[in-house]
Amino acid sequence: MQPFAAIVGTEYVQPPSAPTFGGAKLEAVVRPGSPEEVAACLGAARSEGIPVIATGGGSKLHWGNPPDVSALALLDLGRLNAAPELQPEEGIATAEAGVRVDALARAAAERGSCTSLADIFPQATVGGTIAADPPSPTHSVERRARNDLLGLEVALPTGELTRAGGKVVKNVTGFDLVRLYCGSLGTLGVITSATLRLRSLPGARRVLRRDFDELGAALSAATELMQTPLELAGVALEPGSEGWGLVWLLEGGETSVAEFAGRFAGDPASDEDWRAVGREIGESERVNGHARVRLGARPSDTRSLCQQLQRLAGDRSLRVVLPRAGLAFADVPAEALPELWRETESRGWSLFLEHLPVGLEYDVFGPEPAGLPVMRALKHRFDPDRVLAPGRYVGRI
Amino acid sequence: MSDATAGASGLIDYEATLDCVHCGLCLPSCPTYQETGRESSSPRGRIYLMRGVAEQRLPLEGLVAEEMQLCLGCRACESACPAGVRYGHLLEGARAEIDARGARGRLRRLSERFLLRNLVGRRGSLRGFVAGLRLYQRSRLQAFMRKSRLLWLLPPLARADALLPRISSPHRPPAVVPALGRRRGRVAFFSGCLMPELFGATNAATVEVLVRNGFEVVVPEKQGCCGALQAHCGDLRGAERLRERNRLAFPSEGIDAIVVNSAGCSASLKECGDSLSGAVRDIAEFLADVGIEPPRGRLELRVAYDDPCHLLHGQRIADAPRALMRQIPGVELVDLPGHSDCCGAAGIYNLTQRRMASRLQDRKIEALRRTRPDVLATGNPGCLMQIAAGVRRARLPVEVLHPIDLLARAYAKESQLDF
Amino acid sequence: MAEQLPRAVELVRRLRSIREVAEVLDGEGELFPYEADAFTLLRGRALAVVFPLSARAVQEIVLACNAAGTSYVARGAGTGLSGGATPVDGCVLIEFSRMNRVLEIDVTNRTAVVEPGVINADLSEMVAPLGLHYAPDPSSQSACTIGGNIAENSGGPHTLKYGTTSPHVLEIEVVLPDATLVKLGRRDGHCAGYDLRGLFVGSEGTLGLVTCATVRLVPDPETVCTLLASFSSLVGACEAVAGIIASGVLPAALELLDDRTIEAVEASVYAAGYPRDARAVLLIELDGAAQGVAEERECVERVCRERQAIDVRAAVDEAERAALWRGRKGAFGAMGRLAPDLYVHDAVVPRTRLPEVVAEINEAAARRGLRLANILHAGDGNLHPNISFDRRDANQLQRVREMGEEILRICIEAGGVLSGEHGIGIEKRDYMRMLFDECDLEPMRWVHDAFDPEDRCNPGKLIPTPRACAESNPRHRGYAKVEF
Repeated sequence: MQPFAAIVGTEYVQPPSAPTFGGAKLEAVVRPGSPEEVAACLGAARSEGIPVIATGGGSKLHWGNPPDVSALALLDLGRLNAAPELQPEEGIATAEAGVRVDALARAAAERGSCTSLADIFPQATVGGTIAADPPSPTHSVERRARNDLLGLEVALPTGELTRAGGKVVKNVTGFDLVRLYCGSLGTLGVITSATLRLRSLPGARRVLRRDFDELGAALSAATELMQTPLELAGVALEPGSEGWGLVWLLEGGETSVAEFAGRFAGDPASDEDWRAVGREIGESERVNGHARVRLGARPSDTRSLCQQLQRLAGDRSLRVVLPRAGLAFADVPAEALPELWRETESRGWSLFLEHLPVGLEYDVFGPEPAGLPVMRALKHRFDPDRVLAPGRYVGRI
Repeated sequence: MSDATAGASGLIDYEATLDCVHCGLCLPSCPTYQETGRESSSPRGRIYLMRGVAEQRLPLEGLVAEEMQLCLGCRACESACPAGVRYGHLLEGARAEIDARGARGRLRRLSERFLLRNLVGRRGSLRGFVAGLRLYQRSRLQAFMRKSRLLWLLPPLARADALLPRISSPHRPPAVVPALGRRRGRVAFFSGCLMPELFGATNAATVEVLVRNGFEVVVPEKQGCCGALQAHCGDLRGAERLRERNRLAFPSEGIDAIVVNSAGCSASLKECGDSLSGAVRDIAEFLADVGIEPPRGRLELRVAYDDPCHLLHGQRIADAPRALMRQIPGVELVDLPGHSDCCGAAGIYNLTQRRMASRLQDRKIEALRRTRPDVLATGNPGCLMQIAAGVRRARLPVEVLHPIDLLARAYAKESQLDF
Repeated sequence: MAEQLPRAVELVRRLRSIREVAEVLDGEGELFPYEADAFTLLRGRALAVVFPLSARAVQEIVLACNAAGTSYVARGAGTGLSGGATPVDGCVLIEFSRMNRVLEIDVTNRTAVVEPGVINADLSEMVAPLGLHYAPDPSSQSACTIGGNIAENSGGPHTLKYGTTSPHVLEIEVVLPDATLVKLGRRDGHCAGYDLRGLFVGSEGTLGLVTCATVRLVPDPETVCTLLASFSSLVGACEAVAGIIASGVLPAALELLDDRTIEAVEASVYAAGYPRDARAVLLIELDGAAQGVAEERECVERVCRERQAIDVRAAVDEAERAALWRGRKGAFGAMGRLAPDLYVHDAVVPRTRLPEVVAEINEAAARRGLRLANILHAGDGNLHPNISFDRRDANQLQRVREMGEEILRICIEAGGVLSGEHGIGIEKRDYMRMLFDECDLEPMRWVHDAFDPEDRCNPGKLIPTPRACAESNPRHRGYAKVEF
């Protein structure tokens, strides 16, 4: 670990909390203190042949396939947490990768603003959240955090820092590399800082809910809700102690929210009801012998997603459903996975396995996506020596 | 080729081509571009070709000449052009240049010019010719010719025959027709060359509606063709001779307007920028401006209106004819898809570029088939003939009329009410 | 062109033999108008123009080009302003105007499946009866194609609230430079792996050819209120923009037109009733629920008046609203009447810097004796300074060229970027280094290399040649810089 220590200082090369990671020996946790040090670490990783996995708060470190190398180091970006630079008047915020998402949200709220980064994963950082591009309760086909990502600074395996995008809200200067890095789980480069769109905090926020005896009725109500002309910030279905709850969030100007609230009747609910949805997505507990599955389809297929999951994994397997995004989260027993896989393939759905019971050999990203050859080619160009999270990404790239 | 590089003679208005900034907003409005998808068949492309010729980067012969002929001159592009490029003017210049350089088949050019100058441009010969045609229709010779398929032996004749409307009696009004009821003013009526011969009933309707609304109508005896067809074909000199005749024929004082019921003619008369231009009004424009007494006769008809290019694009008149027809009790105006697209008539285009013309006619017919109106109304003789011919061929139960015909009918029904 | 190389003749023959190709143009006159898109300062001459009718045909065209070692360039309506569709000399120009079918409208999921040649505005018009529209609305939307919009990641006035093209494209079917047909992204938005769809959108036709796209349709807003605020100074109008944003209102669109622009528009067929005596107008559109819009309107009017607006009025009906927008969208073309040539610039700055940046640009233009008109997507900080000139005046042309660089320099110094929506193309390729250094450009080259290692797909666009190998690299292919 000498080359890393030379860059970050010996005190920031620390022993790992666990001896292995996904079957590979964990050599150390390296904690660079600046973007330049991150870049230098990657350069060293490449020249020394020590693969690294970048991590922030570690909330989604378990996402991905096991690394296909015998030993590696963790690159902890937590020290890159200078106070974020907020410019509400420009509609932008710039934060280092290690800044925690909840801290950024608090700082933004103080300035009457918010970002669209999912703030549901405990300890999650800006860099990690962008790299993982996770779903959130407000997720829908059109509302994705990646659409609000304006610029990135990224450390490359060449040992250099590169910039993508910019610090303006509209930009087509060259390839849209920002979108390429977003969701790439640190397999092309390591994000060191990000510029995000900052929006005004909505003037009003209202959570409403309705309870149903069974999922079918709740889904029908959700469909009706989504067809009602409203500006919905989020819709979710979650199992209650008995039956299902349909919870939705309205955001906007006070008058608009009041008007929308009147259009589709619901019982007043609390912010806590909404946060509960987020917790179910962001803080899922590993259930023994089960895989945590995220199944995705078009919004109109949400019902059949749920039916298949209930059929394959039992009525109580479903944890939360986001009908506007066409996403369902469920704990599926290992033995049901082969059939789920087949269903996913034949119906053209998407599948992501957040947790996988030990010993199962699935590509956690589900059936091979179209375009995998190009993804391989990209990986080869960006990271020819496979220094960045080797084997962890789609198709075990 | 050699004289193509000998330098741009002055007929292509190079400076005017520079008004085009190549933005492309005209493309979807152009019927020939819609059909071919070729840049060279688009207004932007044609202007670029003209520029290329003027800059001596491109020969005029061949493609450029062909594209200039393929253009309908419908000027839909002018309605779309933010830069205000005077496309119609550019096209006339380019066509004149083509003729000047002999870049088009000599025989064709001369025969076209001969017919336009001597048949269309001369009242006497046109009258005689149409009288012959009328006889041909009425003597059942037409029916025989069509039935016997003898016409097929002569395709050009067959085409012309297919276009022929049912020719009404010629309209020969007295020199002055007094107003009915309270006199509101005095107008001169530009009767046109083809209109009185082929669409006598429409001309009669025009005069009736004007006098019914309190206008005294003078019809100068010495007037003639407006010269538009000649100019569109590049015969600028021939056109100018005809215009001169009209300048002499029409009074310059004592009239409120020169009223024209053929959109092609009113556009051309307005644009030539001579002493008459300022006074010229299209019939629909004039009536909508001065206001008409709403007819009391009912016509239970679904009417689709098709914009003549030279009214819509040439004169930016869209609402007036619709507003007039809306005043007829019982008339339901229905929207015709593609109502602002050229029908393919475009002067004598349907005779010279028949493949493209019939493609555009087919579109119009298809729109009619979907809309199913009782009446298709349009205010230009070329369009009336072209659409009516398509309707006949498709055997659609649609009557093709000038908006003024409908107004006159509604007024005529009043007298029945009064009994 | 008369004496084509045998290989070229053979290529044209092969293109003609492809079944689902509607037409191949190779005559001198036919090719002539294709030598530039709406960016006319540079031009190139294609070997042939080919009109495919299907993805299969596009694949075969690419195969034929690959076999002949010929590069190819995609073209939609040719309304691009950075030369993205300008042919590289001797290339095959693939014209998508005839692949223009709307294949599917899915009302439940609010998506449409379209071929690339579908005209942007036609799609919106088609789904209007369903209460939906396609949100990205570049000013050329009445003519430009969705395929071209995807290539350029086009914006438009309503980008402020609804985003540019990229978030509206869910899945694209593309022919890659190795002639394989592949779908990028997914119709449900849940694609695993790298966001190749996101990378492809805005790649200016350099990574492959789009043959089909699934795009989002957006519900029409319940209420729309379009305001026209006029100001006696440009700076005042810019300050009002900042004020509106600061108030927390997010307008659907927030556009600024200066006096020269107003003059040109009002003289055109798109005359919209903009006040001719104002130094600048803001076109502000608010949309949403009726009550909320009414409140926002009050707020916006107050902000404008506080910033010394001469007048603020709302369009009274749909017709007036449409006229106000037609004026805005026809503004670029309308400037054609100011002088024989027009250079439309496009850059973005942090939006609070607009007043000083616009003032600095105007001063710089005045210093050079140039005539400049400004249109701004002010809410986004996106400026379009338009220079009217006459290219036949060599001295003036030189000043225009310098001015272009000066505009970019001013914007970059203010923290801005080279393009907000027109793209880089050939126009700004060599200016990329004003913003990016080699470390920033290298990943773009890697991306390009991963898709198009032979460099045949719209070569010479977007990415500047590496400094070291400018001479030897095949990318260093020129265009006829006839004017500059």
